[in-house]
Amino acid sequence: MRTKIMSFALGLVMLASPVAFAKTVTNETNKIAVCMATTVSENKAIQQKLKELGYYKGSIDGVYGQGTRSAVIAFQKANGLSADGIVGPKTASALGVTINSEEVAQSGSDLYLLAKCVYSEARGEPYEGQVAVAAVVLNRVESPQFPNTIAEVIYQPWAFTAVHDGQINLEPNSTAYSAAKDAMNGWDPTYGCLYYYNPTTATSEWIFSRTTVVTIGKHVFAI
Amino acid sequence: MREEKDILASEAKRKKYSKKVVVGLSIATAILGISTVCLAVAFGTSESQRMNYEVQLENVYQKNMYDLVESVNNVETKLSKVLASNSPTYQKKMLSEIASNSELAQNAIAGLPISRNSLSESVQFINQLGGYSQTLADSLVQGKALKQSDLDTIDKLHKSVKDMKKQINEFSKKVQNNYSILNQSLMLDGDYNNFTIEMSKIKGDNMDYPVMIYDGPFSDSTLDKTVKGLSGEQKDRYECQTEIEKCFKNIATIDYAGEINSRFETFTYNVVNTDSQKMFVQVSKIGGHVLTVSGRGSETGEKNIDEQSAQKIAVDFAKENGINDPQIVWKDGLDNCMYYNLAPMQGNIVLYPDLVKVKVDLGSGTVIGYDATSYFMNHTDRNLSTPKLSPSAFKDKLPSQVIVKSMRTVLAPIDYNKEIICFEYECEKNGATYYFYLNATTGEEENVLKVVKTADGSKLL
Repeated sequence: MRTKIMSFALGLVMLASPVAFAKTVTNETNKIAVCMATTVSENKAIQQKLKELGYYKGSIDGVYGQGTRSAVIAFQKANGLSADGIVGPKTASALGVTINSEEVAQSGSDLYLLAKCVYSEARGEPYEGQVAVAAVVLNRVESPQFPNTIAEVIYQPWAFTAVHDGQINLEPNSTAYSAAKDAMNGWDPTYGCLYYYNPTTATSEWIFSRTTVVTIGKHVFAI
Repeated sequence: MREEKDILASEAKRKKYSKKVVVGLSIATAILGISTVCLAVAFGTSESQRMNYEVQLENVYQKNMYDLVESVNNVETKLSKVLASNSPTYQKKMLSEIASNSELAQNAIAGLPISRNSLSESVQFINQLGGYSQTLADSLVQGKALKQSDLDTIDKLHKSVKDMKKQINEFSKKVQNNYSILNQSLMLDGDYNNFTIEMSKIKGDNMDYPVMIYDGPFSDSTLDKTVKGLSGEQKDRYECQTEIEKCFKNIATIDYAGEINSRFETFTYNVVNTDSQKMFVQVSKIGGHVLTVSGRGSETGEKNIDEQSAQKIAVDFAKENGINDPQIVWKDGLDNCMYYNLAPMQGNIVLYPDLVKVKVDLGSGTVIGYDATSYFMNHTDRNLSTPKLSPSAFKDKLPSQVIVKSMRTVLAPIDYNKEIICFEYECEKNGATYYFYLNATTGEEENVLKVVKTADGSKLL
C-alpha cells in the first residue's frame, strides 16, 4: 500500500520537501494534511454545548484544540462514554449536536506516539530542539535505511534510549505535542538529519563518525 | 511476712515478665518466619515472572526471525518466477507479492534487537527492492511489458537475494538450535551486540547490491532531489539578519546562532518577539530567504484574535515573503495555534508542489512559525499551458453518487517525480469528504483523497 496512492498527498499535505513525501507514502496513517476535526461550524456547535454545560471555558472559535479536546474528554467521562476526546456519533448525540458524517473516527495515535517520543527524549531542550527530534523520527520513516512507520521507527529495539528505559510511557506535555505537530506538518530545522546524540553523554565512537549538520540545545544532529 | 510477700510478688512479676518475653520472642520468630516465607514466595514469583517476560520477548524475536527467513525465501522464489514467466499478468502478480514480502522482511528486521541500525544497507536494499517491484507491477497494469534493462536488473537482484537467502538460512539453522536472540542481544562487543554481529553476515561477503533505477518509493532519485527554487546572491549573516527584520515587525531581540550546511545552507538566529515569544529562524545563504521559523506560541490558552483574522495574517505573511497570490488549501488547529497551508497561483492554476506553511498564534496574534522548504525545493518558472477544457467538462466522469462541492484547476505532484495538471473536485458522499483528481487533458482519474477525522484534527488519506 505504500506505493503510489499517496504521491499526491504531498501537494496537500504539509510536507517539508519532496523527500518528505515518501514518508507519507510509506505510512498512510501518518498522512498529515490536517484540517479541522469535524468542520469549523460543527466544532463551534460542540464548543457552544460544552460551554453551556460548564466543561469548556475557551472561546467559541471552531478550533478543535487541546482545550476543546480536554472538555470533550471530561464530558465523555461524566456521561459514561469512552473518553477518547473524539466527537463520534455517540458523543455527538449525548451532546445534542449533529455531526454530518457516518464515519468512524480514528484516534490520533501517530501524533500522540511522536509527542511521547519527543517528551521522553528531549523534554529539557529548546522548542526547536524538540521539533528537530520529531523531525528525525519522520526522516527515518521516509529513509529506506530505516523502518517505514512511526511506530516501527520509535519502537525499533535499541534505537532510542528513552524507549529502551521505559520513559516513553511518560505522558507528554503540550509543548512536546506542539513540537510533534510542527514536525508532522513538515517543519524540519535539521533539513533531513537521521541521527542525534548528546556529545557529553554519548559513549559510542560510531556516532561521532556521522556528519554533523547542526547543534541545537544539547543535541548534535547528524546525517 | 512482708518480705515473703514481696518476694512472692516480685517472683510473680518476674514470671509474668519472662512469660511476656517468651510470647514476644515467639511472635517475633513467627513474624520473621512468615516474612522469610513471604519474601521467598515473592522472590520466586518475581523470578518466575521475569523468566516469563524473557520467554515472551524471546518468542517475539523468534517469530520475527522466522518471518524474515520466510519472506526472504519467498522473494527469491518469486524473482526467479518473474524471470521464468512469459505472461505479463503473472509477472505483475509475482512483482506485487515481492513488494509485500519485502515489506514483511523489513518489518521483521525492525522488530529484532539490532544495534546502531547496522543492517541499514540490507534494509535499504529490501525497501528499494519492494519499491522497484511495485513500480514495475504498476507499469504492467498500465499495459507496458517489462523492458530488457528491467529483466537484467531483476536477474542481478535475484543473485543478491539468493546470496542473502543462503546466509540467512544458515544463521536461522543456528538460531533454531537453542540460540537465544535475547541473551545474545545483551552481550556487547563494543558498540554492537553479538546478535547484530551475526546478523550483519546476511549482506554476504563480497556483495554489492545492484542499483535500481525507478521513480517510486525509496528510489535514489526521490532521495537525491536537488533544491530548485533558491535564487539570488550569496548573502552574509548580517544581510540575512536584515531579511528577518523585514519579515517580522515585532522583534524585541535577535541573536545570531550559527549556520547549517545541509540540503539547504542557512544562517540561524534566535529571535524573541515583543510578546516575549521565542523563535528559531533559518535564512538561506543564497538570496537571504526566510526558510524555516520554529516557535511554540503562547501556552496560556488566551485567544485575542479569531480564526478569520488569523487567516488574513497568514495570507499577508506569505505574500510579503514572495508567494504569488497565496491560496489557503488546508488548515488545522492545535492548542492556541492555527496552521495554514498556502499554495501560490500561476494564472488560474493552484501550484500544490510549492506549498508554504504558516503557523499563527491566536494569543499574540502574530506569525510564530513558517516553513517554505517545499516552496524553495520545487518552485521554478514552469511553462504551464492552461487546459483547453474547464473542470465542468469532466464532471460526468465522477462516480454518480457524489455531490460536487467545488472544483478548480491544480498542478498536482503525481507518482513521485511527475507534476500533472488536474481538475480537483471536492465531493461529498455519505457525509464524508473526498477529493478527486482527474487529468485535465485525458479525464483519467489520477488520485482520490479522503478526509479522515481523528482526535487531533483531520487527515487527508
